[in-house]
Amino acid sequence: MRIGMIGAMDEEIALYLQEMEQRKETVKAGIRFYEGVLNGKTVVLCKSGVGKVNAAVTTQMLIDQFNVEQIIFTGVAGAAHPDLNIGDIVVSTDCLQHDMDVTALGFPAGQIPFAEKSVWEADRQLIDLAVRAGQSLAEDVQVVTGRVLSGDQFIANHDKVEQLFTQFQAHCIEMEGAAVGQVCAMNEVPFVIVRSMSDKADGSAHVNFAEFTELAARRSFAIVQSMLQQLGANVIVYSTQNCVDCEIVKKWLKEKGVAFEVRDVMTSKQYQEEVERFGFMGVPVTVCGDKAVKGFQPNELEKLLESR
Amino acid sequence: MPVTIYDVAREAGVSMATVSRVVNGNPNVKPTTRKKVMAAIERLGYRPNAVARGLASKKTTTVGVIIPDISSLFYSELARGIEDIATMYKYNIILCNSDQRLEKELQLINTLLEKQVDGLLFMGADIKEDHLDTFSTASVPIVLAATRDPDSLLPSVTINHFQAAYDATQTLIERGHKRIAMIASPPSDPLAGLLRFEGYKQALHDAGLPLHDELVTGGNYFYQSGLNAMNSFLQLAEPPTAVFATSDEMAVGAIHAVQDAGLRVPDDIEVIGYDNIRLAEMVRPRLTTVVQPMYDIGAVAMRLLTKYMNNEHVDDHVVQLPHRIEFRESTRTENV
Repeated sequence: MRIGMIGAMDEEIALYLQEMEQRKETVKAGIRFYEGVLNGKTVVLCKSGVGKVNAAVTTQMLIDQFNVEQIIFTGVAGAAHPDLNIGDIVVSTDCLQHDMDVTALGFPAGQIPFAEKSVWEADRQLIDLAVRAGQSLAEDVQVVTGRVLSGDQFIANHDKVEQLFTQFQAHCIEMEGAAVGQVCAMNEVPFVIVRSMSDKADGSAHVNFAEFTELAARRSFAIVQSMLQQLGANVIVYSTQNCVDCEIVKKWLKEKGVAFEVRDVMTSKQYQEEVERFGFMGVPVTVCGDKAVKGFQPNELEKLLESR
Repeated sequence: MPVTIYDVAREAGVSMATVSRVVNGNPNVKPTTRKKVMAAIERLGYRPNAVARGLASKKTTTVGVIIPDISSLFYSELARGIEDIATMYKYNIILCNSDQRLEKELQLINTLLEKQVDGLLFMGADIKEDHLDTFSTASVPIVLAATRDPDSLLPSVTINHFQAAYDATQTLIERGHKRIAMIASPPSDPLAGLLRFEGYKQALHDAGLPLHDELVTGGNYFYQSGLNAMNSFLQLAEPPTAVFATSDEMAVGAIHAVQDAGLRVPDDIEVIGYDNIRLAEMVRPRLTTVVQPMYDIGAVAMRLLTKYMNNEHVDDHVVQLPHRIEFRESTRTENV
């Protein structure tokens, strides 16, 4: 699993680079991409630059050139929801472009003309991971899920913020998320946007912006690290096509909303050997990290998932 | 006249030994020679003689599989597991139905051994002295699937029948039942019979419940014996409020006896079966039952056999696989 990570702040990128192993740098279209290993996962890290065009180009390159299978975007944003405070974290449920405006031709505000969709939903599993990771920070900030609005403009006007909040039920406003979301959706790549609030809806901001940026970068980094750890614990089901219990295990995992990889032992001797390394013969065997469960045993599987 | 290895050698202009090496995948052949030989084989339509090859290598890459009845879903799933893993390890199987008749079983074991199979997989309810005597004459490995010999001398793959019966009984105890009947297996069946009865007994004991002799009846796995057993339970001054039957057919018989008496399952009496045969889904209420991982029993048994056939190290010759209880409507939904 290759994971693409787009950061918005230099401070944040610096933290990643410190921890990243086997780093390889590539510059494409003027954007610097770093491939490497972070928390045991293969990741591709980059900074997109400001605005939707930069974000769209970066995202498409991550997918095409670097073959990432999931994308996590982190950065700062302005709060639109009045309950949000500075430092709070918004995990995107979906996102849209608030400055897509073809109202003059009768299209509703925010709607892309002649397109089936204009609102881009983030991946359920990534959302859950981000929220759990945010909560595990145990810092005095709220971690909420909500809609992210993007537009190629910095909104400094409070009336405008309030209008966007009521018009689109927005949680926060920034300049890239919806572009990342749309490109991911077009390529069927799961994504999530994680934003730290840099200023409140009432216009107040952190007294010391430099200090705040560093704090926000640290939090983003901690969240992504924790997400990577969770993503690392991939669930693998060793099975064969004709095995009834294998199907039961897969169905059970699906109902739990757990993503998993299927390895058919009939297709590869290597898979069979992998299973037997856990001391088991036969199938199904469900593996997560260094733990494995033989057969369909809901209680044991439950424990296995909790260990992720 | 069938095409022989001589014809191929002559056609390709190489020695017979070289053709043999190509056919048997020996790497010590030059690629150009291999190509020449393969072309000759294709031109002539040569098919290696498996019997001759077996004579030379003393291996037939064939495994004998004896099962009671392929038409029973219980065994067809098991056979599928065997076949899949056999294919993976490049063995073919000869499948024989024994109908669980001792005479036929012994005859099949002998016939398959005479056919020089490289190994034998045996399934049947009961392993008797006669089986063990015949097995002892074999020079190839034998693995038992879904059954076990009384002293666990032979390699085998089963579930833990003691624990499965314990779990089924405990499930009923947890639902507040004090009088839990068991429609048991014939006492002549040491594995299924005795172990399951011991599991039942232990679960009652651990819950501090007495074992009532009148609540245990031997059945023969079939429908009628379950029906009869339940009818006699219903005659008791204090009939049971829950029943554990050691086969699905007997469990269905018990359900029908309860219904014939004007009572309801699971409202008046809860029933748990054993085996999860297709019938369990076909009756109303559908049957809650103990499930054995049949495909996996077959797959693991076959894998175990390949280890013996290849003289690989085997840690434990008795393999136990996890079982589970499939909850359907013959038990109440509470506490699940």
